[in-house]
Amino acid sequence: MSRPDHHRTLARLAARGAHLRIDTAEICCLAAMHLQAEAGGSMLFGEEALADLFEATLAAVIPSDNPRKRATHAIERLRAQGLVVRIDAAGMVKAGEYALSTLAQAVVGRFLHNEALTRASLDGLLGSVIRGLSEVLVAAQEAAGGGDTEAWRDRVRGPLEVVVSELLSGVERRQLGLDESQRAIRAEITRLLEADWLDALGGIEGLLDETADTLTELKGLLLQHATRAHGLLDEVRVLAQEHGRIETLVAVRRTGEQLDRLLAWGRSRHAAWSEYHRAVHRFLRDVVRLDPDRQLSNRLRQAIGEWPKHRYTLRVAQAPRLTVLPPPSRVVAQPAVRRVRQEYTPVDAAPPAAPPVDLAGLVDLALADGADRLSAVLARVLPQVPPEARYGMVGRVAALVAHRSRRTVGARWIAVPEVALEVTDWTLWEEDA
Amino acid sequence: MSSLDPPFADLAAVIAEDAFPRLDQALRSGRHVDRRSPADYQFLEDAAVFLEPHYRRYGADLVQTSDGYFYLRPVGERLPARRLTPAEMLVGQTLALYHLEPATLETGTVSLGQLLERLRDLLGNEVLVTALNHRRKATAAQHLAERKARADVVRALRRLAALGFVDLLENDQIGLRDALMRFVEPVRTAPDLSEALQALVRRGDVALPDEGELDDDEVDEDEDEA
Repeated sequence: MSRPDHHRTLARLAARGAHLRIDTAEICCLAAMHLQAEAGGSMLFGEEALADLFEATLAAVIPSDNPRKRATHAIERLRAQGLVVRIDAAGMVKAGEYALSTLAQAVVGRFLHNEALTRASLDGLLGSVIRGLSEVLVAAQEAAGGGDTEAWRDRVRGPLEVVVSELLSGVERRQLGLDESQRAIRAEITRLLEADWLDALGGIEGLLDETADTLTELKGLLLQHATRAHGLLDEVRVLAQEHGRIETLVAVRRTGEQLDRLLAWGRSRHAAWSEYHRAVHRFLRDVVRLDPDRQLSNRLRQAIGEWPKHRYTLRVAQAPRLTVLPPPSRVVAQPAVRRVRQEYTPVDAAPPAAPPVDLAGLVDLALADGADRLSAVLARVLPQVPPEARYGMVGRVAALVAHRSRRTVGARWIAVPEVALEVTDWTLWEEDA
Repeated sequence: MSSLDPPFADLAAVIAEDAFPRLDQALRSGRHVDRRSPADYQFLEDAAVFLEPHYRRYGADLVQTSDGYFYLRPVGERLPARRLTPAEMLVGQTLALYHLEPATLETGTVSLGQLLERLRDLLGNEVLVTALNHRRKATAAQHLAERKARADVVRALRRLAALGFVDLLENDQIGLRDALMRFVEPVRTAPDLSEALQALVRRGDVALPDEGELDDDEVDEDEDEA
C-alpha cells in the first residue's frame, strides 16, 4: 500500500471515531467465553447461556448488587464494539447465538497465552518457513518450464505472500513476547537485589545465565535458518527475473526484508543482553560482594549531606589543547570585476530655472530682521518664491545662511510648511566683528 | 601473529595505531575511558605496558582501576591538572550514589529531574544553591532558585560528560559510566574520611581547598557572562 493510501485509511478511521474501551471486568467476561469454549468444544453461546456466564463472571470478579443487569450492559457494550458477535442469521425476535470475534480472540490471547519465542517454537516455525520456501521454489521451476501466468500467481506468489509471510509474522509476534519476558526478568533482578542484596546473588546469576543461553541459542538458530531461507529466495528471485514476473519479485523482496528484520532483532537483543549481563556482573562483583552491608552508599550519602564539611575535589589532567595550524591555502588571484565601458548619454533635462527673486537679498533681510533660526529664515524667504521653485530653494537658502552667520546644529527636526518637509533646525547668531 | 602474541611489539607500534592520537589527547584532557567504549578500553589495556612508562616521563600515571576504567593522574609539574568544581563534585557524587543502587541497573540511566530531586533531598534547597555556585546567593524567589540550580547542574553535567563520567542522552536522560566509581573512592576504604582523603591527596587523586591549584571557576565566570 502506498503512503497516500495510508493517509486515506487513517483519515477514514479518525472520521469514524474508531475506538475500543474494555475494562477489567469485560476482559474477564471475554476470557470466560474463551475458556468455556475450549472446555466445552463449542464456540457458540445461546443468549441465555451467555447472560448466565457473564453474570457468574462479574459476580466472581467484582461483586455487586445486581450482576444480571451488569451482565446485560456488558454484553451490549461488547457487541457494540464488535467483540462479541451474533453469528446466526435469525431476526431480532428469535433468540440468537453469539461468539467471540477475531478481535476479541486476539485480546484474550494477549492476556491468556504467553507467546514467547522458545528454541522449540523458533525451530518449528522456521522449519515450516524453509519447507514452504522449498515448495515455492519447486513451483517456480515448474512455472518457469510451462510459462503459465496462473501457476506463477497461485503457486509461487500466493504461498510467498500468505503462508511464508504469516509464518514469519508468527516469529515476529513471539519475539515481542520474548522482549516482554526479558523486561520482566530485568525487573525481577532489580526487585531481588533491592529485597535481599547479598542473598539474591545465586538467583540472579541463574536468571542471567539462563536468559543469555536462550538468546545465544535463538541467535544461532535464526542465523542458520535465515541463511538457508535466503538461499531459497535467491533461487526463486533468479527464476522470476528471467521470466519478468515483477509481482513475484516484489513478494520475494518483502519476504527477504522480513527475514532480515528477524536477524537484526536477534543480533540486537543478544548485544543488549550481553551489555546488561556485564553490567549486572560488575554490580554483583564490585558493589554487592564488596559491600555486603551497603556501607559504601551510606558513607557516600553522608559525605554529600555534610557538605561543606569535607570540601575535597577530584584532580583531573588538563593539558592545553594542541595548536593545530590551518592547512596552507593557495592564494588565488581574484580577477577584477569589469564591464564594457559605454558612452554616457546625458538625458535631456530642463536646466534649473534661475531664481526669479533675489534670494541673497531676502536672506539678508530676514537675518537683519532678527530671524535667529534656520526655520525662521525659511519661513520668511520661501513665501517670496514661486511655489513650484520652493523645494529647490531650501538648500540654497541654507547655504546662504551658513555663509552669513555662525550656527549651532540642533538635534530637533522642525517642519517647514511652505515646502512640506522637515529640516534640522539651526540656532543662528551674528559673526563677531 | 598468533593470538598468544602480545598485541604491540613496542611503544612505536602503539603510537603508530590510528586510535592513539585521539586517545592520547582525551587522556591528557582528563577523560576517563571505561568498558562502555570497548575498542578504546581494549586498546589501552593492550598498550598499557608501554604507555605507563611513556606517560611517567610526562609526570603522569596511567591508572587502570579494578572498576574497569583508565585515566591519567598528573603527579608532577609537566602535565597540568585542574580540580573539579564543587558543583561537579556534588553532581558526580550523587550520580555515583545512583550507580551503587540496583534500581539503575535496568536502564543504566537516571533523568535530570531525578538527579535534581535527589540533590535537594541530600542538601536542602538553600545549601544546594550555594553549593552549586558559591558566588550566587540563595534567592528568595523559589522558582528562580530552582531554575538557576538546574542550569548549574546541567553545566556540571556537560563537563562530567566531557571527562567520561556520564553520557548525556536524549530526553534529559543521563547514562551512568563506570568511571563514576572514582567519586566513591574517598569513602571506599576507611570509615574515617579524613584518613582516606590524606592517602588520596598523597597519591595525587584528590585536592583539598587550601592547596594552590586552581579549580575551574574562571570557566564558570565565562559561562555565566555568556
